[in-house]
Amino acid sequence: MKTLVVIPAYNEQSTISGVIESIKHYQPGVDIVVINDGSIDNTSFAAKGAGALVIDLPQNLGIGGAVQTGYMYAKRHNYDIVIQIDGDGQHNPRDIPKLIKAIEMDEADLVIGSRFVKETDYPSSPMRQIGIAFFSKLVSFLCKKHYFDTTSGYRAINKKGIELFSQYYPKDYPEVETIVYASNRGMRIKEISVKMNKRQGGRSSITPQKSIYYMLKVTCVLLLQPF
Amino acid sequence: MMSPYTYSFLLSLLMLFLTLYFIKKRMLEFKYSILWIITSLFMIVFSTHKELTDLLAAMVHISYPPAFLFVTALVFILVLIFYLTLVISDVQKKMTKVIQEVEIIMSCSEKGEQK
Repeated sequence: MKTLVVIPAYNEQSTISGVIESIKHYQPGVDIVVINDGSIDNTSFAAKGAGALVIDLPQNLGIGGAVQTGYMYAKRHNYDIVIQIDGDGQHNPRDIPKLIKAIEMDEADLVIGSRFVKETDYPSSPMRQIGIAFFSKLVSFLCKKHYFDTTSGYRAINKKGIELFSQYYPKDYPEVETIVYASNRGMRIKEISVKMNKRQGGRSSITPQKSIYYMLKVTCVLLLQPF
Repeated sequence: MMSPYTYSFLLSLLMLFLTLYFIKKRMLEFKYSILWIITSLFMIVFSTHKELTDLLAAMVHISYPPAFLFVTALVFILVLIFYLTLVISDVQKKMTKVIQEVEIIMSCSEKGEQK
Protein backbone atom coordinates (compact mmCIF):
# COMPACT_ATOMS: atom_id res chain seq x y z
CA MET A 1 0.00 0.00 0.00
CA LYS A 2 1.20 3.49 -0.86
CA THR A 3 2.30 5.06 2.41
CA LEU A 4 3.23 8.62 3.32
CA VAL A 5 4.88 9.71 6.54
CA VAL A 6 3.79 13.21 7.54
CA ILE A 7 6.00 15.14 9.97
CA PRO A 8 4.63 18.49 11.15
CA ALA A 9 7.60 20.55 12.31
CA TYR A 10 8.05 23.91 13.96
CA ASN A 11 11.62 24.85 14.88
CA GLU A 12 12.90 21.28 15.04
CA GLN A 13 16.27 21.81 13.33
CA SER A 14 18.16 19.80 15.95
CA THR A 15 16.02 16.65 15.73
CA ILE A 16 14.32 16.54 12.33
CA SER A 17 17.15 14.93 10.34
CA GLY A 18 17.60 12.20 12.97
CA VAL A 19 13.87 11.42 12.81
CA ILE A 20 13.93 11.24 9.00
CA GLU A 21 16.98 8.98 8.94
CA SER A 22 15.46 6.72 11.57
CA ILE A 23 12.22 6.44 9.52
CA LYS A 24 14.25 5.48 6.44
CA HIS A 25 16.05 2.88 8.51
CA TYR A 26 12.96 1.19 9.93
CA GLN A 27 10.66 1.62 6.91
CA PRO A 28 12.85 1.90 3.81
CA GLY A 29 11.30 3.22 0.65
CA VAL A 30 8.46 5.10 2.36
CA ASP A 31 7.67 8.63 1.18
CA ILE A 32 8.33 11.30 3.79
CA VAL A 33 6.91 14.81 3.77
CA VAL A 34 7.85 17.44 6.33
CA ILE A 35 5.34 20.23 6.81
CA ASN A 36 7.52 23.09 7.94
CA ASP A 37 5.05 25.27 9.84
CA GLY A 38 6.72 28.63 9.34
CA SER A 39 9.82 27.72 11.39
CA ILE A 40 12.27 30.51 12.08
CA ASP A 41 15.25 28.17 12.31
CA ASN A 42 16.85 25.80 9.77
CA THR A 43 14.22 23.05 9.98
CA SER A 44 13.49 23.19 6.25
CA PHE A 45 17.15 23.02 5.28
CA ALA A 46 17.86 20.15 7.71
CA ALA A 47 14.84 18.16 6.48
CA LYS A 48 15.75 18.63 2.81
CA GLY A 49 19.32 17.60 3.61
CA ALA A 50 18.05 14.38 5.17
CA GLY A 51 16.18 13.61 1.95
CA ALA A 52 12.57 14.43 2.81
CA LEU A 53 10.16 16.40 0.68
CA VAL A 54 9.50 19.68 2.47
CA ILE A 55 6.38 21.80 2.23
CA ASP A 56 7.25 25.22 3.61
CA LEU A 57 4.16 26.98 4.90
CA PRO A 58 4.62 30.74 4.48
CA GLN A 59 2.78 31.33 7.76
CA ASN A 60 2.62 29.44 11.04
CA LEU A 61 -0.73 27.67 10.92
CA GLY A 62 -0.42 25.75 14.16
CA ILE A 63 -0.19 21.99 14.51
CA GLY A 64 -3.69 21.33 13.12
CA GLY A 65 -3.16 23.37 9.96
CA ALA A 66 0.23 21.74 9.38
CA VAL A 67 -1.03 18.18 9.83
CA GLN A 68 -4.05 18.84 7.63
CA THR A 69 -1.72 20.07 4.88
CA GLY A 70 -0.12 16.61 5.05
CA TYR A 71 -3.52 14.92 4.71
CA MET A 72 -4.43 17.15 1.77
CA TYR A 73 -1.13 16.29 0.11
CA ALA A 74 -1.78 12.57 0.72
CA LYS A 75 -5.27 12.84 -0.76
CA ARG A 76 -4.05 14.70 -3.81
CA HIS A 77 -1.34 12.10 -4.46
CA ASN A 78 -3.62 9.18 -3.75
CA TYR A 79 -1.86 7.64 -0.77
CA ASP A 80 -3.49 4.68 0.99
CA ILE A 81 -1.93 5.20 4.42
CA VAL A 82 -0.67 8.24 6.27
CA ILE A 83 1.65 7.93 9.26
CA GLN A 84 1.68 11.01 11.43
CA ILE A 85 4.79 11.37 13.56
CA ASP A 86 6.32 14.26 15.53
CA GLY A 87 9.56 15.85 14.44
CA ASP A 88 10.97 16.24 17.96
CA GLY A 89 12.11 12.64 18.34
CA GLN A 90 9.46 11.67 20.92
CA HIS A 91 7.98 9.02 18.67
CA ASN A 92 10.20 6.10 17.85
CA PRO A 93 10.06 5.24 14.11
CA ARG A 94 10.79 1.63 15.07
CA ASP A 95 7.02 1.26 15.64
CA ILE A 96 6.01 2.44 12.15
CA PRO A 97 5.87 -1.09 10.64
CA LYS A 98 3.55 -2.12 13.51
CA LEU A 99 1.19 0.80 12.81
CA ILE A 100 1.20 0.13 9.05
CA LYS A 101 0.49 -3.55 9.60
CA ALA A 102 -2.59 -2.79 11.70
CA ILE A 103 -4.01 -0.66 8.86
CA GLU A 104 -3.06 -3.19 6.17
CA MET A 105 -4.75 -5.99 8.13
CA ASP A 106 -7.83 -3.73 8.30
CA GLU A 107 -7.92 -3.89 12.08
CA ALA A 108 -8.90 -0.22 12.25
CA ASP A 109 -9.28 2.98 10.20
CA LEU A 110 -7.23 5.00 12.67
CA VAL A 111 -4.43 3.48 14.72
CA ILE A 112 -3.01 5.42 17.66
CA GLY A 113 0.47 4.74 18.95
CA SER A 114 -0.24 4.74 22.66
CA ARG A 115 2.07 5.15 25.62
CA PHE A 116 -0.33 3.60 28.08
CA VAL A 117 -1.93 0.49 26.59
CA LYS A 118 0.89 -1.42 28.20
CA GLU A 119 3.03 -0.22 31.05
CA THR A 120 5.80 1.88 29.47
CA ASP A 121 8.42 3.99 31.16
CA TYR A 122 7.29 7.21 29.50
CA PRO A 123 8.19 10.12 31.79
CA SER A 124 5.58 12.83 32.33
CA SER A 125 4.85 15.50 34.92
CA PRO A 126 1.98 15.15 37.45
CA MET A 127 0.10 18.05 35.82
CA ARG A 128 0.37 16.38 32.44
CA GLN A 129 -0.76 13.07 33.89
CA ILE A 130 -3.90 14.68 35.32
CA GLY A 131 -4.70 16.18 31.91
CA ILE A 132 -4.11 12.88 30.14
CA ALA A 133 -6.28 10.97 32.66
CA PHE A 134 -9.08 13.56 32.40
CA PHE A 135 -9.22 13.43 28.61
CA SER A 136 -8.94 9.67 28.61
CA LYS A 137 -12.06 9.47 30.83
CA LEU A 138 -13.99 12.12 28.89
CA VAL A 139 -13.20 10.65 25.46
CA SER A 140 -13.99 7.13 26.69
CA PHE A 141 -17.34 8.39 28.00
CA LEU A 142 -18.21 10.22 24.76
CA CYS A 143 -17.11 7.37 22.47
CA LYS A 144 -18.41 4.58 24.74
CA LYS A 145 -15.10 2.77 24.36
CA HIS A 146 -12.01 2.96 26.50
CA TYR A 147 -9.12 5.06 25.24
CA PHE A 148 -5.87 5.33 27.14
CA ASP A 149 -3.70 7.83 25.30
CA THR A 150 -5.86 10.47 23.67
CA THR A 151 -3.11 13.07 23.35
CA SER A 152 -0.73 10.98 21.28
CA GLY A 153 0.03 12.44 17.86
CA TYR A 154 1.64 9.21 16.65
CA ARG A 155 -0.96 7.77 14.30
CA ALA A 156 -1.66 5.75 11.18
CA ILE A 157 -4.74 6.48 9.10
CA ASN A 158 -6.25 4.74 6.09
CA LYS A 159 -7.86 6.29 3.01
CA LYS A 160 -11.18 6.85 4.74
CA GLY A 161 -9.40 8.84 7.45
CA ILE A 162 -7.32 10.79 4.93
CA GLU A 163 -10.54 11.85 3.20
CA LEU A 164 -12.19 12.80 6.52
CA PHE A 165 -9.28 14.79 7.90
CA SER A 166 -8.68 16.59 4.59
CA GLN A 167 -12.16 18.02 5.01
CA TYR A 168 -11.98 18.98 8.68
CA TYR A 169 -9.14 19.01 11.15
CA PRO A 170 -9.12 21.09 14.35
CA LYS A 171 -6.79 24.06 14.23
CA ASP A 172 -5.05 23.80 17.58
CA TYR A 173 -4.70 20.96 20.10
CA PRO A 174 -6.27 18.54 17.60
CA GLU A 175 -5.31 15.10 18.95
CA VAL A 176 -8.08 14.59 21.49
CA GLU A 177 -10.85 16.11 19.39
CA THR A 178 -10.02 14.06 16.29
CA ILE A 179 -10.68 10.81 18.18
CA VAL A 180 -14.22 11.84 19.08
CA TYR A 181 -14.80 13.39 15.65
CA ALA A 182 -13.61 10.25 13.83
CA SER A 183 -15.46 7.92 16.19
CA ASN A 184 -18.73 9.84 15.66
CA ARG A 185 -18.28 9.36 11.93
CA GLY A 186 -18.02 5.60 12.16
CA MET A 187 -14.24 5.26 12.02
CA ARG A 188 -12.81 2.23 13.80
CA ILE A 189 -10.07 3.31 16.17
CA LYS A 190 -7.45 1.12 17.78
CA GLU A 191 -4.61 1.84 20.17
CA ILE A 192 -1.31 0.04 19.84
CA SER A 193 1.39 0.15 22.48
CA VAL A 194 4.49 2.06 21.46
CA LYS A 195 7.54 3.21 23.29
CA MET A 196 8.02 6.96 23.40
CA ASN A 197 11.13 8.94 24.21
CA LYS A 198 11.38 12.18 26.09
CA ARG A 199 11.49 15.04 23.58
CA GLN A 200 15.02 15.38 22.31
CA GLY A 201 14.90 18.97 21.20
CA GLY A 202 12.65 21.92 20.49
CA ARG A 203 9.85 22.98 22.83
CA SER A 204 6.46 21.58 23.71
CA SER A 205 3.68 23.61 22.13
CA ILE A 206 1.78 23.38 25.42
CA THR A 207 3.39 25.61 28.04
CA PRO A 208 2.05 25.63 31.63
CA GLN A 209 0.32 28.96 30.93
CA LYS A 210 -1.49 27.47 27.98
CA SER A 211 -2.52 24.27 29.74
CA ILE A 212 -5.62 25.79 31.38
CA TYR A 213 -6.75 27.22 28.06
CA TYR A 214 -6.02 23.82 26.49
CA MET A 215 -8.18 21.97 29.03
CA LEU A 216 -11.02 24.47 28.65
CA LYS A 217 -10.92 24.58 24.87
CA VAL A 218 -10.68 20.85 24.32
CA THR A 219 -13.41 20.07 26.88
CA CYS A 220 -15.71 22.63 25.30
CA VAL A 221 -15.22 21.40 21.73
CA LEU A 222 -15.50 17.76 22.80
CA LEU A 223 -18.87 18.45 24.38
CA LEU A 224 -19.92 20.55 21.38
CA GLN A 225 -19.14 18.18 18.53
CA PRO A 226 -20.29 19.31 15.08
CA PHE A 227 -23.40 17.74 13.59
CA MET B 1 -44.67 43.80 31.53
CA MET B 2 -41.12 42.49 31.72
CA SER B 3 -38.54 43.87 34.14
CA PRO B 4 -35.20 45.10 32.69
CA TYR B 5 -33.52 42.29 34.65
CA THR B 6 -35.63 39.57 33.04
CA TYR B 7 -35.05 41.19 29.65
CA SER B 8 -31.24 41.25 30.21
CA PHE B 9 -31.33 37.69 31.47
CA LEU B 10 -33.15 36.45 28.37
CA LEU B 11 -30.82 38.36 26.03
CA SER B 12 -27.74 37.00 27.81
CA LEU B 13 -29.10 33.49 27.65
CA LEU B 14 -29.76 33.92 23.92
CA MET B 15 -26.21 35.24 23.42
CA LEU B 16 -24.73 32.25 25.27
CA PHE B 17 -26.87 29.81 23.33
CA LEU B 18 -25.91 31.37 19.98
CA THR B 19 -22.21 31.31 20.90
CA LEU B 20 -22.33 27.61 21.83
CA TYR B 21 -24.38 26.83 18.71
CA PHE B 22 -21.82 28.44 16.40
CA ILE B 23 -18.94 26.67 18.17
CA LYS B 24 -20.79 23.41 17.61
CA LYS B 25 -21.23 24.27 13.93
CA ARG B 26 -17.48 25.06 13.86
CA MET B 27 -18.31 28.46 12.40
CA LEU B 28 -16.80 30.21 15.42
CA GLU B 29 -13.28 29.55 16.66
CA PHE B 30 -13.12 28.81 20.37
CA LYS B 31 -10.55 31.54 21.02
CA TYR B 32 -12.87 34.17 19.58
CA SER B 33 -15.82 32.85 21.55
CA ILE B 34 -14.26 33.19 25.01
CA LEU B 35 -15.12 36.90 25.31
CA TRP B 36 -18.72 36.16 24.37
CA ILE B 37 -19.05 33.28 26.81
CA ILE B 38 -17.54 35.24 29.71
CA THR B 39 -19.71 38.28 29.02
CA SER B 40 -22.86 36.18 28.71
CA LEU B 41 -22.12 34.50 32.03
CA PHE B 42 -21.40 37.85 33.72
CA MET B 43 -24.62 39.33 32.35
CA ILE B 44 -26.57 36.29 33.53
CA VAL B 45 -25.16 36.67 37.04
CA PHE B 46 -25.88 40.42 37.11
CA SER B 47 -29.41 40.06 35.82
CA THR B 48 -30.32 37.29 38.25
CA HIS B 49 -28.72 38.97 41.30
CA LYS B 50 -30.43 42.31 41.52
CA GLU B 51 -28.70 43.22 44.82
CA LEU B 52 -25.26 42.74 43.23
CA THR B 53 -26.19 45.01 40.31
CA ASP B 54 -27.62 47.60 42.75
CA LEU B 55 -24.41 47.53 44.76
CA LEU B 56 -22.11 47.86 41.76
CA ALA B 57 -24.30 50.60 40.27
CA ALA B 58 -24.14 52.54 43.58
CA MET B 59 -20.36 52.17 43.62
CA VAL B 60 -20.07 53.98 40.29
CA HIS B 61 -22.89 56.43 41.11
CA ILE B 62 -25.38 55.15 38.57
CA SER B 63 -28.78 55.87 40.09
CA TYR B 64 -30.77 53.59 37.81
CA PRO B 65 -29.17 50.11 38.30
CA PRO B 66 -30.31 48.51 35.00
CA ALA B 67 -28.35 51.28 33.25
CA PHE B 68 -25.28 49.71 34.82
CA LEU B 69 -26.02 46.52 32.88
CA PHE B 70 -26.30 48.41 29.60
CA VAL B 71 -23.15 50.44 30.23
CA THR B 72 -21.29 47.21 31.00
CA ALA B 73 -22.58 45.66 27.79
CA LEU B 74 -21.54 48.76 25.86
CA VAL B 75 -18.01 48.62 27.28
CA PHE B 76 -17.83 44.96 26.33
CA ILE B 77 -18.82 45.79 22.76
CA LEU B 78 -16.05 48.41 22.57
CA VAL B 79 -13.50 45.88 23.88
CA LEU B 80 -14.72 43.35 21.36
CA ILE B 81 -14.49 45.79 18.45
CA PHE B 82 -10.95 46.69 19.49
CA TYR B 83 -10.04 43.01 19.71
CA LEU B 84 -11.53 42.41 16.26
CA THR B 85 -9.46 45.20 14.73
CA LEU B 86 -6.36 43.51 16.20
CA VAL B 87 -7.43 40.23 14.61
CA ILE B 88 -8.13 41.93 11.26
CA SER B 89 -4.70 43.56 11.31
CA ASP B 90 -3.07 40.19 11.94
CA VAL B 91 -5.09 38.50 9.21
CA GLN B 92 -4.19 41.30 6.77
CA LYS B 93 -0.49 40.86 7.54
CA LYS B 94 -0.72 37.10 6.97
CA MET B 95 -2.73 37.55 3.80
CA THR B 96 -0.10 39.92 2.36
CA LYS B 97 2.58 37.29 2.98
CA VAL B 98 0.50 34.52 1.38
CA ILE B 99 -0.30 36.65 -1.69
CA GLN B 100 3.39 37.48 -2.08
CA GLU B 101 4.37 33.81 -1.80
CA VAL B 102 1.67 32.73 -4.29
CA GLU B 103 2.76 35.39 -6.78
CA ILE B 104 6.41 34.33 -6.48
CA ILE B 105 5.45 30.68 -7.07
CA MET B 106 3.25 31.68 -10.04
CA SER B 107 6.03 33.70 -11.66
CA CYS B 108 8.49 30.83 -11.13
CA SER B 109 6.13 28.30 -12.72
CA GLU B 110 5.40 30.68 -15.63
CA LYS B 111 9.15 31.03 -16.20
CA GLY B 112 9.39 27.22 -16.21
CA GLU B 113 6.60 26.98 -18.79
CA GLN B 114 8.29 29.54 -21.09
CA LYS B 115 11.51 27.50 -21.04
